[in-house]
Amino acid sequence: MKRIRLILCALLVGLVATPLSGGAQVSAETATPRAGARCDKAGDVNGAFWCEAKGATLIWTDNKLQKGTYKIGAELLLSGAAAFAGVPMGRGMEKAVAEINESGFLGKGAKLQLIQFDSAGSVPNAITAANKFIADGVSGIICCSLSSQAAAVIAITKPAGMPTVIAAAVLPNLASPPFIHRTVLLLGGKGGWQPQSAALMAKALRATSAIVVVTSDNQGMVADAATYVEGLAGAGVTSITQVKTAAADTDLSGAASQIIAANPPMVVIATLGGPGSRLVKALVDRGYKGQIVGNYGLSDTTNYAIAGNSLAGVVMPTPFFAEKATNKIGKQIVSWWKANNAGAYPSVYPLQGYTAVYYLATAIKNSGDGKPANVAKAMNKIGRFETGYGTVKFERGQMKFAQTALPNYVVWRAGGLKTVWDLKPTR
Amino acid sequence: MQLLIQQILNGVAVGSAYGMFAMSFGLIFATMGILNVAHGAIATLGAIGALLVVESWGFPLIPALLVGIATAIIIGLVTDRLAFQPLRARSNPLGYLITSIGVWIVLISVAETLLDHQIKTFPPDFVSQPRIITSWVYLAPGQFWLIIVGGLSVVGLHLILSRTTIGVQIRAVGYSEVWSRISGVSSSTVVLSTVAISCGLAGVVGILSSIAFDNVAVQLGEGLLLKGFAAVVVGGFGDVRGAFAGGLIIGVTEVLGAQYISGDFRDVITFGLLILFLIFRPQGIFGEVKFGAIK
Repeated sequence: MKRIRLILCALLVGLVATPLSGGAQVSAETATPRAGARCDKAGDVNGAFWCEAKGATLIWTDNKLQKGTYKIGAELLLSGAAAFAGVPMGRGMEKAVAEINESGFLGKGAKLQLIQFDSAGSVPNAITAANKFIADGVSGIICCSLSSQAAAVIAITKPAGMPTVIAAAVLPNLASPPFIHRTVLLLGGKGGWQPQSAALMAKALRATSAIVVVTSDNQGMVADAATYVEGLAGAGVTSITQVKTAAADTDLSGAASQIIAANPPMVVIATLGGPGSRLVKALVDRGYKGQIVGNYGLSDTTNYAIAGNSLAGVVMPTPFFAEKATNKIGKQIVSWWKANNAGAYPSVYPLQGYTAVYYLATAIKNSGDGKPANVAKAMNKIGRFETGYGTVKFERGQMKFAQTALPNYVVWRAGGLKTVWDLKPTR
Repeated sequence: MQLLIQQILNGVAVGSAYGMFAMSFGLIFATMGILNVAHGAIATLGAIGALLVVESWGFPLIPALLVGIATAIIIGLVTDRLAFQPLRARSNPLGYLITSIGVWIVLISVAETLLDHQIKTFPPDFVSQPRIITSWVYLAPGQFWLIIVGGLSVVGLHLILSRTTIGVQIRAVGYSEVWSRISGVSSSTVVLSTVAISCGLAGVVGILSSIAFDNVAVQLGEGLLLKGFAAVVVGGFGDVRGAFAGGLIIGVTEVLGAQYISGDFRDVITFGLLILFLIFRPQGIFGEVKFGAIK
C-alpha cells in the first residue's frame, strides 16, 4: 500500500511539474504546483512548500525567489535586564541566517541579511527599531521578548503591512494575521502547561492555600499569573494570595518575608527568570520548606548561577527540554550550543531566535519577491512547520504543537541538573 | 508584629545601600558641583572588578572587596581627569551633566562587555556568615554586612569630614573654592581625595549590594543612582548623615509600602516622597548648606 502511494505521488508530481519546469528533473527545488492546483492541506516543512491532495499527494514547489539580498530586522534585548534571554536569542538567529545562506535555502543567488537592533528592553527603543526597519526596506521583522514592546511594535507594523514574527513575548492574543504571527509555544494560557503544573502540584499536596508571585509591570507575567490562579482554583485551592514584584526589583527580601510569614504549602512564581531565581534563593535561605512551582523562565541555566542549589526541587514546564531533545533540529541546536558554550545545555532562547528566522525566511522564500505584502501572504499559507520543539502548526498566526504533545515538566536537582518531574512533591 | 520588624530590618538593609550610595554621590555634588549620573556605573564596575577576580582566581571576600574598591577609585580618577577636569575652568553645571551622561554611556558599555550582557552573581555561598536567624527575624549575610558597613561608613565619613585636615579642606572647597585657595588649600588634592573617597565608597556599595541581592548587572548602578539621588534630596545635601538617613527612610518606606499597600507602588512611593520633599522641603530633612563648584 505504501509503495502504491509513493508511485501515485511520484506520478502526480511528474504530471504537475513537467509542464512548468520545462521538462527538468523533478525535485523539491525545481517543481512548481500547477496554477490553480487545489490543495486539501498545504504548508511548509523547513522551507519546502508542500501540498496534499486527496490525502496522498505531495507537490513540492519552486520558490522562484529572485536573486538578491533580503533583509530582515530583529529587535532584540542585547543589553539591559533581559539580555540573558536576548543575547542567546540573537545567537540563534545568527546561526539560522548562516545556515540559510550556506545551504542556499532561499534559492540560487538569494541571501538573507539580518539587521539586529538592541532595544535594551525599552518600549520607545522598540518603536524606533520598527520604524527603522520599515525605512530600511526589510521583508519582515522579528521582535519582542517583552509583551509591552510587542504591543507597541504591532501598533506600527500592522498598519504598515509589515510581516512581524513575535519570537518570545507571551501576552495572549498578540498574533493577528495576516501580518502578525507568533513562533512561541504558549504554556501559560488556559489549560496550558504552566497552570496545569501548578494544579498538579496542588493536587499532589492537597493544598488549600497558595501564593502566586507576579512581576506586576510585565503584561505577559500578569496574564500568566491569572491562568495560574485559575489552575489552582480548579485544583481546589481556596486561598490564593498574590505578591507583586517589579521587573527591576533586585531586593526580594521583602517579598520573601511576606511569603514566609504566610507560610503557604506552595508558591507559584510567575516572574521573569532572574527575579524568580533570586526569590527562590531568598525563600530557601529563610527556611521555606514548601513546594515551589515556576514558569519556564526559571528553566534557563543562568538561574542556577544565581540561586545555586536553592533551586533544587523547583518544578516548571519548558517548551524545550534540551537535555532530552529528541528531534533532529532540537539535537542540532543542542550540539551547536554545547560546542560553543563549554558543554552547557542551551535554554529555549536560542531556539526561539532560530525558529523565528526560519519561519520568516520560509515566507520570504515562498513570496517570490520578498515584498512585505507577499511575505505576509506566504506566511499565512504556512501550515505545518518542523522546529526544534517538534512539528508545529499555526492557528490564526499562533504556533501550536501539531499533535497533542506530552508536557515537559522538569524539576531542578542539586548540582544544576534538570530531570523529568514525576508529579510528586519534590521538597 | 514579627512581620513588621522583619520588614523594617529588610528596609534598613536596602536603605543602608541607598544611604551609602547617597553619601558618595552627594559628596561629589557638594564639593565639586557635579551631578554625576555616571556614579552608578562606577559602583557597577567596582562590583564587576571584584567579581572578575573571584571568578578568575577565586579571591576570597576581603581581597576581592579591595580589588573592587581599587577598580572604582581608578575609574573615578581616570574619568575625572579625562572628562571633568577640562570643564572646571568653565564651571558650567550643564556641561558637567552632559559630560557625565557621556561618561555613563561609555562606562555602561564597558560593563556590558565585561559581563557579556549577562546578569551574574557571586558564588552562592561567597559570604555565608553571619546569618542571623531567630524565631523573630532573619537577616541574610549580605543584609547584615550592608547594615554594619553602612553604619561604619556614615560614622567614618562624618569623622573624616569633620575631624581631619583633608576633610576640612574638602568642606572648605565646597563652601568656596576661591577662598579656600587663598587660604592655601590645594584644590587638585581636594579633588583627588574627594573622587577617591566617593568612588571607593561607591565601589563598596556596588559590591555589597550585588552580594546581598545576588545581582551583578549593568542595572545595579542605575537603581542605586535613582534611589541614592532621592535619598540625598530627602536627607539633604549638607551633611553625610542626612544623606544616609534619607537612604534609610526610602528603604524602609518602600519595603513597608510594598508589604502594606502594594508591590505595584514601590517606586511610586519612593519618588512620590522625592517630589513631596522637592516641593515642601527642598533643603531635605537635615537642611542644606550652600555649596559652590570647584573650578
